[in-house]
Parts: sequence; structure tokens; C-alpha cells
Amino acid sequence: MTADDAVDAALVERVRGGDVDAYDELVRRHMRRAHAVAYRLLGQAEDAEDLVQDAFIQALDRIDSFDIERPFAPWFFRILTNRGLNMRQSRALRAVSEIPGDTASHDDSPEQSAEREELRTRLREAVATLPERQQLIVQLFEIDGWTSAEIARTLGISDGTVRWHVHEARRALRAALEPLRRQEQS
Amino acid sequence: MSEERESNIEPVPDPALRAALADAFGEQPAGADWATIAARTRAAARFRLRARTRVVPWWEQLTPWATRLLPLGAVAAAAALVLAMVTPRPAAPLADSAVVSSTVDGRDAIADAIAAPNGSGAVRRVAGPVDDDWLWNATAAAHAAEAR
Repeated sequence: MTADDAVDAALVERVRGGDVDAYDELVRRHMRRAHAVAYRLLGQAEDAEDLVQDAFIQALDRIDSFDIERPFAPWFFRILTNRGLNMRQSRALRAVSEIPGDTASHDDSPEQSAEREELRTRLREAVATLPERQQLIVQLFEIDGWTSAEIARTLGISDGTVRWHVHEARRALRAALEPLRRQEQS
Repeated sequence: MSEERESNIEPVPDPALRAALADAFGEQPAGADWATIAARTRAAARFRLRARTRVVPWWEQLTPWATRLLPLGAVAAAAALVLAMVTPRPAAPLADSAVVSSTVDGRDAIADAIAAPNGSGAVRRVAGPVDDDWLWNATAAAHAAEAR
């Protein structure tokens, strides 16, 4: 266990006794990372906030079943990702269709705008074919700049597994975008 | 996920892929109100946390046991009732007051017998034979003489 894990464990013990301040501290320690993961799962800031709150409440309800000898973060993020995936399914992916919307530069020509839209669609479709955990890992790594160690610690898997997911996702995404690249070259 | 493997090669940053993914999925929202999120979460958890600190009254602590204890208690009471009906009752001992009263009555009878004109005969009838009891005989004779 790391020093961070030991702090979490002490806070969890106090939370079990109903300590509001300890719960508040536990929430603040993991809130930003939780929100980042929630946003990648749901694609909407408001939905992400709801998910974060919901996950922390779920964690409190199950706090007695948490093994104090283990790190808190992977346990908590497993609750969050499971809840997030359920919410994503139940909300019928409304978030994905609303993501970035129109981020195209107004200086783009109609052809350029069409190309960008085509690229976005291909990428979203390609990412959607990846395993759910790989989707999350590739977005946290590529877009949000998390290190493989950070992702590993959060999800409770090894650094090597995170790196493997990133390599696999890149290979799949490049393969999906290859036709577009050929079009550009020709 | 059972096919997950490990890799020792750290992926090199790919700016083009990053830009394309960010364009497709968006950057993390800036300016999230962390204080509000934390306050909302704390408020939602307050009732649950208070329930953890509340002192549980004795009757609520007993509740989980009641389903086991009540039948056990009923069975024990029935067994005790049957045992009480089957077991013969011992003879009731004399009350202390009865013994005292009898003793006092006996003394009064002796005193009356001694004070009577035919003294020793009455004493004999009340207290029984006085043979072989030199103290009793002497006392009865003294009282009889005094009475005369």
C-alpha cells in the first residue's frame, strides 16, 4: 500500500463510524479524477457530476464491505465505471450524439468541414467497437494525458496491461482511419 | 477481457491521434465547480452518515434476536409449566408464628396448672409425666407450696 492508500484507509475507517469530515475529505481526494472518468464514460459534464455523486453514495452504502487492506481507488472506480456503463446504456448514448457538436473552425471550407465530420464519425464508430475498458483507457491516455501508471492505479490493473490496451486501441483506430488517409493521398 | 496482455513498451505520444480524438470526443470540461459537487455529495450522504453515529436503543438491538428468543422463551415456559404440574409438592412446613403461639399457649397452660389448687396434678396433665426430671419436679413442688 502506498502512503495515499494508507490515508484513504484511515479515512474509510472514520467514515464507517459516521465521520462527515472524513467522508468529505475522501470525496475531495478522488472527486476530480472521478469526474474525469465519469465524463469519458458519459460525455456530458452534468451527467458526469450526477454519476460522481451517485458513485460516492454507492461507495458509502457499501463501505463496510471494502477490504481496508486494499487500495480504495480501484474499489471506488469499479463502482463508478459500473454505474457509468449502466447509465450510459439506460440513457441510450444521448451523450455521444451531443459531444463536441460543431467544433469545426469557421474558416474551414465546406470540403474541410465535411472531411472533419467524416473523421469524427469514423473515430467514434471505431472507438465504439473497442472493449469498454479499452475505450476508457484510450481516451484517458490520449486525450486527457493520464500516464499508464495513473490509469493503472485508478482502475486497479497493471501498468503493462494499460500499455497493452493503448497499443491495441491505436492499432484498431489506425486501421479504421486508413481508408480516409488513402482518400486524402489519392 | 480474458485476453488482456501486458506490454513493456510505453506508448509514444501521438499528437495527430490526440487531436483527432479530442475533436471527436471533446476535452474535459473546464471550470467544474468542485466545491458545489463536494457539497452536494456531502449533503446527499449526511443522513446515511448520521445513521452510522446514532446510538442504537436496546429494543432495536434486541430486534434481530427476537425471532430466535421469543420461540425459545415460549418453549421454556411451557416446559416449566409441565414440570411444575408433574412434580409432587412437599408438605408445607409449620409457620414460625404457629410454633411461637403454641409455645406461648403451652406456657400459659403450665402457669394456670401451677396456680390451680391441685397444682402438681394439673401440671402433670398439661406437661406430661414428670418422673426422672428432678428440676421439673422441684420447680413444680415449689410453685405448689407457694400457691398453698
